[in-house]
Amino acid sequence: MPGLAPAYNDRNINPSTRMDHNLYAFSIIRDRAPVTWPNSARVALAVVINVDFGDLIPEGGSAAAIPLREWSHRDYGARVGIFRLMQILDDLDIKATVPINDAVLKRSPAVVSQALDRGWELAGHGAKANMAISSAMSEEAEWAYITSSYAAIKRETGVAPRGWLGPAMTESSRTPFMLAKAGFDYTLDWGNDDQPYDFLAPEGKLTALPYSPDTSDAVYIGAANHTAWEFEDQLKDHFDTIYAEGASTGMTMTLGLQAHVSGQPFRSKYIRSFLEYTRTKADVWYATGSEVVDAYRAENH
Amino acid sequence: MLSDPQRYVYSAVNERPPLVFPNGERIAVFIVPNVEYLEYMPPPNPVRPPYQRPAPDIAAFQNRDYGNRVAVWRLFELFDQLGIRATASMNVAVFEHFPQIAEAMAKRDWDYQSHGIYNTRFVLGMDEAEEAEMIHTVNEICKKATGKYLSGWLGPSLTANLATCDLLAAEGIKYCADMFHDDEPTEFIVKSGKLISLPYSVEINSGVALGGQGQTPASFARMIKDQFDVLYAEGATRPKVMAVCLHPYAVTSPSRVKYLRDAIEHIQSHSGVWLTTAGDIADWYYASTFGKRYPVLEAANA
Repeated sequence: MPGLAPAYNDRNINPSTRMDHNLYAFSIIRDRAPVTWPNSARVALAVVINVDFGDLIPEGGSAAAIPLREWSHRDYGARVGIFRLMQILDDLDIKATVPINDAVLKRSPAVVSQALDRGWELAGHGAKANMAISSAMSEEAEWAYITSSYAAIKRETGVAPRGWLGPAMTESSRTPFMLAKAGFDYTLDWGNDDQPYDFLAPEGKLTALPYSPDTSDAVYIGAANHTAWEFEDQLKDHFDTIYAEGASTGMTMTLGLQAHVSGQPFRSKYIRSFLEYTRTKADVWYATGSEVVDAYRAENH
Repeated sequence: MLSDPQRYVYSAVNERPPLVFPNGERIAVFIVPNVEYLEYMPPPNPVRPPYQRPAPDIAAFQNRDYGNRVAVWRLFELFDQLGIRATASMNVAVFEHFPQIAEAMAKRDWDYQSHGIYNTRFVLGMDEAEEAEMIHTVNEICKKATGKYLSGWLGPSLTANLATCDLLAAEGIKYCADMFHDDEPTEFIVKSGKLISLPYSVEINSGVALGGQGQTPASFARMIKDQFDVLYAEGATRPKVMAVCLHPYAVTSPSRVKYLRDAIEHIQSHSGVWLTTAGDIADWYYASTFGKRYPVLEAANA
């Protein structure tokens, strides 16, 4: 179909961000002033455990093939997997951040109470796993979606959430600024750095806590089909590089887990093993998402 | 129906005169980091959607953005330590968005292969005049940003049209990397001028192996080493050309950089290796070999 391609030469370079959007500015990691973590830690390591719930038959879906297998497998996370991971983190004295679907708050209250008992942090994760943000949503619908999650966590826990991780790693082009306006302080949707950075939100203030696809079980195990021991190798390799580079500037690493995936018995031992490995190193700061973002803002920006 | 683009003649690999590299090396290796920019909200293309998911596809966008903010800088450091001069496969809009990347490459005297303007702007759906203008524009952007014209061409996101080879030859591009039919340079049949093919790879390629195939970083390093070992052995009697096709976001992310180092150090530990750029291989080929190797092709061009 000759002549039908879009014009090739209409490059859209925002003069202040250098990107083709106005969400955040380009920045080269090696050109930045050093980031300083509490106690001069090299690495701020945030363990993030997603607890999800999805409808068995979504609104408008077909009842012809009931996906009980997928539905119940996911529900394992809120019944079993999260508590196995809690035990591991208790043993290693590490606090986690839990992106939690609104539906889990009421359905699985023990997840909430036991997380809060430990001083863990809950983060917004949208209504349900099968209801993701998309560009097809109206602005009003997206605003209602984001603010409902914010209100639900505040209502159920008495504490407003500060972090956000959208279900299924989706956003519209409005999402980051909308999160800031709704009151969220940081987002885990963006994995494009090894240090936090700030969005340029006109209302509110939103920081990215980079959530690397390389250290996420959704990507490395879910999408790429690697084994649990390959995931452990990958996590150690990632950590080693970040730790070495952390000698000159504070770096971040997120460990992105899903309770129903990494909370499976056979996988959990590799998560334990990885975290035990990091515990043999000095200068690692185990922090919740909010703690990392607060330190980043207070000491550096 | 079109069964054959008629761009090259058939030639069995074991019936050609062996290549003779400048210092009698067994293998020429060129290393190609693809430095890319996927637009946040690209315009639709009628032939192929820019993204597999609706835009903004933040997962795909942020990979390349990680490359430009973080991983390519780690790659510069690694290549400086190893003494590698690379052939950058560029979405040339990167040079305009981020002149620091152009400066860093120019300082290291890298070689450049075009990968179009953006990896979300395919040549699919372009007519010849528009594609010719685009190729020229890309060449001029590269010259302005780095001081050097492109030595070769790799279509944006590996897209090409039937006339692309003619248009590249008319622009004075030395080689095209869009076809994967050989382990040695071959000669394309073009309307006017000259154009050769250098063997780029869709196998020894981090976008493929670490992307769609989901190999581990250790497996990808092993693939590079295995490919090298076989070609190196064959190169004792018939010298070969090998490309190592990389994407910084995929190969110099924290978990992967040590495996890339290991693979390159394996190559460097051998004697008789010409570790160079694609442009240098193309220049050597034109100076020493072009027109002398494929008698059938000479007849076709006569």
